[in-house]
Amino acid sequence: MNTVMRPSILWPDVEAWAIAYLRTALDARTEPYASGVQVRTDVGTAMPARLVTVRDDGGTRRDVTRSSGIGVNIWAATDEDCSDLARLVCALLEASAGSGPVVACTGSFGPYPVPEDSGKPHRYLSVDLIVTGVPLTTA
Amino acid sequence: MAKTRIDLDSKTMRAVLLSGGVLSEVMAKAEQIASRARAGASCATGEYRDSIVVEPGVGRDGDRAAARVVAKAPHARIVEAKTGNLKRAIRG
Repeated sequence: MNTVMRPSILWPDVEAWAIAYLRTALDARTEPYASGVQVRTDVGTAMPARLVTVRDDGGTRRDVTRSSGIGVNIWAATDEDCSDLARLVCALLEASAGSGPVVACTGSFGPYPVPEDSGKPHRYLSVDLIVTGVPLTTA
Repeated sequence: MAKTRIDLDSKTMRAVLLSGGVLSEVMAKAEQIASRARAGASCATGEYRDSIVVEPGVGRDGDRAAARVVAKAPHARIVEAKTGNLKRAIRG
């Protein structure tokens, strides 16, 4: 049996990267619907006017890269705002190659509307990224 | 020195990719994904879990066999938004 030795790699925290990336990217936008957006991992106890949550949906290793799925939920006060913000977030993530550990965005799904008991407009999307890590050094 | 040339017959290749043999392989792979999705489903009533099925089909360009893993419960979109269950199942 052939054994393929692969380098030991410390993989990045893609969720933390995506939150920092989206915060910076949204702050730099001038569209009204991108103003005051909170980006974090969970909804928390109080829902802000505009919220983006990011979830690491895992992935699989290739050789020196890793596929990484990111699930993103978006809420805003109006359906139009929510749709606009969701499509902007999708575009920003699709354009993220070269930022931090991201080598490429290989696909996206959505955004699509998600029904909410509260009636608050909600969209969901996911993106597939390819990321690199850093060589694992000995302790 | 002799050279080898390979010509692929696209009609024959298409027929192979659309054949029952390829479809059954694709369906078996999709069933593995569906099984993982069912196992990963949180179960309040089991309605979502039991609605996950595999459907045969053809690829986007119509040139090869394909299979879809579908969650048919009315609240499947909400589950996917909250958990990413189907997406996680694809990745194994």
